Amino acid sequence: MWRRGERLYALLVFLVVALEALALGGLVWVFSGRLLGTFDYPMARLHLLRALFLTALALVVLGAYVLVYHAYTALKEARDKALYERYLPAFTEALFSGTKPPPPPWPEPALEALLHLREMLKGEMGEKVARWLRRGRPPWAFPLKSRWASHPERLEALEALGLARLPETLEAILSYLEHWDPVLRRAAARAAARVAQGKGVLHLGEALLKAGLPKGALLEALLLLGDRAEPVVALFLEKGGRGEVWAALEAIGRLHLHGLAERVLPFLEAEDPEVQAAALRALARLGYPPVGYEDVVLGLLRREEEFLRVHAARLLPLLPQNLARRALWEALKDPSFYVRRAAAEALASLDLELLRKAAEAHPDPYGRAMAAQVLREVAWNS
Amino acid sequence: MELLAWLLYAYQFLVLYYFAVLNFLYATFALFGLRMVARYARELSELSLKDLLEREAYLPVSILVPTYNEEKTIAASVRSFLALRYPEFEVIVVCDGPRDRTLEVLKEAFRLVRVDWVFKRALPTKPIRGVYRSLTYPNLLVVDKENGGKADALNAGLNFARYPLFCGVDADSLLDPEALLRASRLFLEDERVLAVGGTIRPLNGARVREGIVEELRLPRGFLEKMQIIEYARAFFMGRAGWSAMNALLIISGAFGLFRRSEAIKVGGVPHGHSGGGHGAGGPPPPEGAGRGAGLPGPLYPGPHLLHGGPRRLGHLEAAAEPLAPGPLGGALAPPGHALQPQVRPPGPFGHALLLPL
Repeated sequence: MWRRGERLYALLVFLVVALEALALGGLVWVFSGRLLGTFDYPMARLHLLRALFLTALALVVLGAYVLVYHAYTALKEARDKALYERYLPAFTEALFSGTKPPPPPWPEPALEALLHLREMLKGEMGEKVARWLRRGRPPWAFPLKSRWASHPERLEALEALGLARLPETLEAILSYLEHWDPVLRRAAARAAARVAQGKGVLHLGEALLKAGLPKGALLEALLLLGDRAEPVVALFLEKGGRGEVWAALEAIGRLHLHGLAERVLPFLEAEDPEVQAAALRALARLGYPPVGYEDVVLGLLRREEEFLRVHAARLLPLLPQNLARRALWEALKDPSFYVRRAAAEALASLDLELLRKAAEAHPDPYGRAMAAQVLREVAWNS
Repeated sequence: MELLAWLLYAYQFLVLYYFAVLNFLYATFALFGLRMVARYARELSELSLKDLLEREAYLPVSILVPTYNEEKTIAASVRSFLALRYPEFEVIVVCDGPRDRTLEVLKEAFRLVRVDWVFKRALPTKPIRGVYRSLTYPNLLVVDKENGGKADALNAGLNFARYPLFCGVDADSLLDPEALLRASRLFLEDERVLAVGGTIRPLNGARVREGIVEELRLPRGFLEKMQIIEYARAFFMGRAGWSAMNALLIISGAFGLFRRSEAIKVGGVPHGHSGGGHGAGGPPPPEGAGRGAGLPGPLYPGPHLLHGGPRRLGHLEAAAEPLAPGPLGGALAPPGHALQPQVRPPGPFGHALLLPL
């Protein structure tokens, strides 16, 4: 893992190579002068020796630094590991026996041990660790406020705050959702999703609406919210743009937010095919029949976009059975390999006998082959 | 005589000028590259990978392993791929008409049985001779085909791949157990990402058991040590620097993760392409890497990953938007019917960023 001293290391590598470039540049200049008769031989030799000396010096400095760096970090890591191993059992014992933890101030490895405990433990035990963390005055909020902290330091601080899950740190994290750097914005979204509680969840939702994050990052934040996600998902559906609505629909399906299933249905008629596909997926994951939207789903089977037809075929088993059987039989004739595949899989879940019949007697040879393939896979997997 | 002396002097001048410029470029690359490495070490932290797994936000991956005459290493390599820490993936080994016992070794090691398999021939390849499934590993598929080179084998694997992401690896390489997790995370975070590569390290000197790297050590030989340094320079300074400038042109054939639909859109891997470090085809090798085939030992794609964003490359503009992972949500990604002319191998999909362990 990347360790402390990295900035100095990067700077040193840059300086050494730049110094060498400078020395070589100087030589180019001197040799050019010699070529044109501007410099005499002793002068050129002097410059050559200077360039050699500078390069050698730079390499010696770099070599020495690398050796010292490795020796120091190895020593520090060994010391940190020992401290971690001393504090972790002490905290665990205090936690389970009800005694007092070791008195603060705690070194960094001790805080790390507390963070690991906080991540592992939920409920009352977790809250107890949170109280200890507050007592320990962890230094992670400082890099977030400092103007001079590096990006890696800020990322580290955001991650630590995400692990600590201290609700009072939410505002400091949320401010990073407006940061110009998308990497920090994503890290802040992840950390805030872990930290947000109560009213903070809605604050987070509102901040996410303005954050301009890609839809994958929005989805991850919603998934991290878990059972706290519902108000944010509802907010996204109401006020969100294309990306937010897509993430909300995905989250409804993946988090099984049955309370919001009814609100998914209108999105089957959205203008954006990706949003329509997300709505189809959400309903399929929830197992929620699209009552009143059967014609819309059947209409999606005739759309030009292949992925829409795929997802519509997957949702068909939730339609009334006779309708679903007829539609799936038809979908096996689809020119797309993937739609035929989805139709055959859906048929396998709905009516295995009909799939057998399709494998033997479907009029479309490709549909027949696909039905036979899925039938073989069903047998294989069982 | 004077003219000759002058010419020699001018030659020296050119050499000096060349190295001065080269060193200046190295310095710039070092600064950009190392900064990038430090930053991505934090971004792809253990916690972010844990969240990815626990929240099931990952995208499933098809690992494509083109192989030709690799009876000695194939079983261990496939075992290492099957042992990857990733919740949903399939391994597709494509035997590219081997003349040795590669297929037989696979049949014995993984209890393969021949099956009928319907697949979409989205990319033209040499004829398929047989498809095999494993009785012990449900996520292993072996495709036997006529010899057509690595590019042809990769395209055949693409035809069989089911998942939205595919990872091209060399059959004589081992993957870090977390390589897929780290690489795939970037696809989730940014839908513009089309390709992610990894850093590669020669395995010489390392202790490997059953396809798992137990300990990394330096080799004894001077040349092998130099090879490791050169790989490190190429990836941590060269590639990382290029990637920081959004200018990375290639992704190593030994380890690269791509969006399948986009790869099919550009016609897969062009035939006749030489391919990555060791294999018989695929994207071009990295500078300083890959060409070390003369030195013993397989490559070891480490945890450092490259991340591409296509928007800055004109020929991929059209491919970037409509086939983001969204529409299929981790299931089958339908390849586009309107195939674009073969522009380049999957490598040039985009710029990249170097990521550390």
